[in-house]
Amino acid sequence: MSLDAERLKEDFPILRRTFHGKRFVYLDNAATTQKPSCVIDRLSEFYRLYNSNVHRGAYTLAEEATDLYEKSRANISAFIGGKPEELVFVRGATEAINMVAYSYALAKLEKGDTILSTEMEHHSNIVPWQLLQPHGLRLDFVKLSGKGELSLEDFKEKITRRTKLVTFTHASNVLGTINPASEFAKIAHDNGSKVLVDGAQSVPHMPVDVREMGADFYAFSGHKMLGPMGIGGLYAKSDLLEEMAPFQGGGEMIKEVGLDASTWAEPPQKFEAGTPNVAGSVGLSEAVDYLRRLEMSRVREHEKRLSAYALQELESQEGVRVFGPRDPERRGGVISFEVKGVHPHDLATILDREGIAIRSGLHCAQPVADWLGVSATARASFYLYNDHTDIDSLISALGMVRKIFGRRA
Amino acid sequence: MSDIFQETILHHYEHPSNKGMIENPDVKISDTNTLCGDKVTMYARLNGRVLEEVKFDGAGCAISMASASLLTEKAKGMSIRDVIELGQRDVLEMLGLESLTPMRIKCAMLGVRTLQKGLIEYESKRPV
Ligand SMILES: Cc1ncc(COP(=O)(O)O)c(C=O)c1O
Repeated sequence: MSLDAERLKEDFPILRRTFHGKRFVYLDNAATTQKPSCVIDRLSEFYRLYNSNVHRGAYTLAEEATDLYEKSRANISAFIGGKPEELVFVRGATEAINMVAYSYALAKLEKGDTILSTEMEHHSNIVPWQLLQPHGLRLDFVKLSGKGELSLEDFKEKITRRTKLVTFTHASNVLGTINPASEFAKIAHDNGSKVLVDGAQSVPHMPVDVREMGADFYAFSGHKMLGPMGIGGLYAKSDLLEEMAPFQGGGEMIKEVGLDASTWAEPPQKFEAGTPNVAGSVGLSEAVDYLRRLEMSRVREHEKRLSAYALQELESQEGVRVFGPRDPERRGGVISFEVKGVHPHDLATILDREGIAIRSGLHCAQPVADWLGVSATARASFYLYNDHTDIDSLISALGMVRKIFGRRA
Repeated sequence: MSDIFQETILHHYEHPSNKGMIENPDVKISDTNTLCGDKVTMYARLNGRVLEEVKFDGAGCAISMASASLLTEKAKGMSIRDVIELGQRDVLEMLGLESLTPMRIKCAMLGVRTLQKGLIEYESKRPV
């Protein structure tokens, strides 16, 4: 059975807002997703009934909060096919990638070792590696080719004996491309390299099994999958967490502290210095339950159908150019496009007046824009609560854009 | 309907004034609005402390380009000091707008901020 997006909309109170007198059409889900009532209620319930610090108090409330926190970890971890002790709570994908950069790459790799990233990445999977270059680690990028796929040929060429870590996004936040993660992981592993997958744009939208995929590290953000902001995860294989150096020092991550030296708590606590975002973990766990009830394969099917419809409608518009792969099997619900003669920012401003929220700009992935040869793009991105009427609203508003900008052409 | 995109702005976006470069300018300075990817280069030729010729080049949204175009018209004949003193209100007035969102204000201010930076640099290099 397919998803009933119209009914699902009712679970999201914010979608009942109007802007400039128009129905709210939210098409910026790649930036962040809206939250269902169950997640909002769960957060408030946590603060009303369970708020306490974790792993510390001996009283009942503290035990309840600790229990909720660890149960959330187990639930979220299972959602992506991992074990509880393999999930480190972080702020989001950005922090997860930085953790791998400092606690793994900087601590474990040797001068001259190479990290192989790609031209498709969000800045958060480029800049942390650049920051390691002064420490003698090298950085290389797999090229984009075709309609916006990573070049397998270039990947095989760039991966060398010195490549110790391969990192790539599972799904592009600009082009929509879904990368063949297990195929890439296999090539990396055959070369003896570890694999970090940026799952920020995949775990919210499709079934993900980190073990099947062969990821050694997997990063994701809760706020892009119906959860609260400020919570996300780094999945890492146990043996890697074991050998990694601490990320930050402080409470929670230690076993014993002397004035000269300290010993570390077992992972994942070793990487969670300070009071964690307990409420966030509980909210994200609720979001995961919501997604599980809908079934991720149906979420994926729904977005595939929506993307196919949106691609067809957009491409039939005069003066509209769509970027990224066309085959809905190989792309997610993120569509970047441009309208001839209209800057993406102006486009977004006009759509806003019609109640439609899209993103314009570089989408934190400047190398992709450079590869496309554009200074910015407009981007519509879908989620489970979007339906055909949302796309129809977008298309009819594009007509308005053309009326404003096209009249003297 | 979007009242931002009224006649003046669309006209200057589609038919900009003084677009191009000045050979051997006294001031040449580029800047970008990283948020949107707007890029602008401002050129000025000076006669003493007065801007005798002002041109701009670049690419970006209608607000940033129209604003730069209008600025080249306005700044011509003005003194360095008067240009440096131009603020948000002057730019909005020039565009014929009452207000803009904080995001779009950055677009509107790109040309004038860039030219001002160039003039300040020019002043600091001038022998006293
Ligand atoms: C592919 C990708 N990676 C990483 C991130 C960073 O996520 P966050 O800002 O939640 O850390 C994003 C968010 O835009 C993304 O789209």
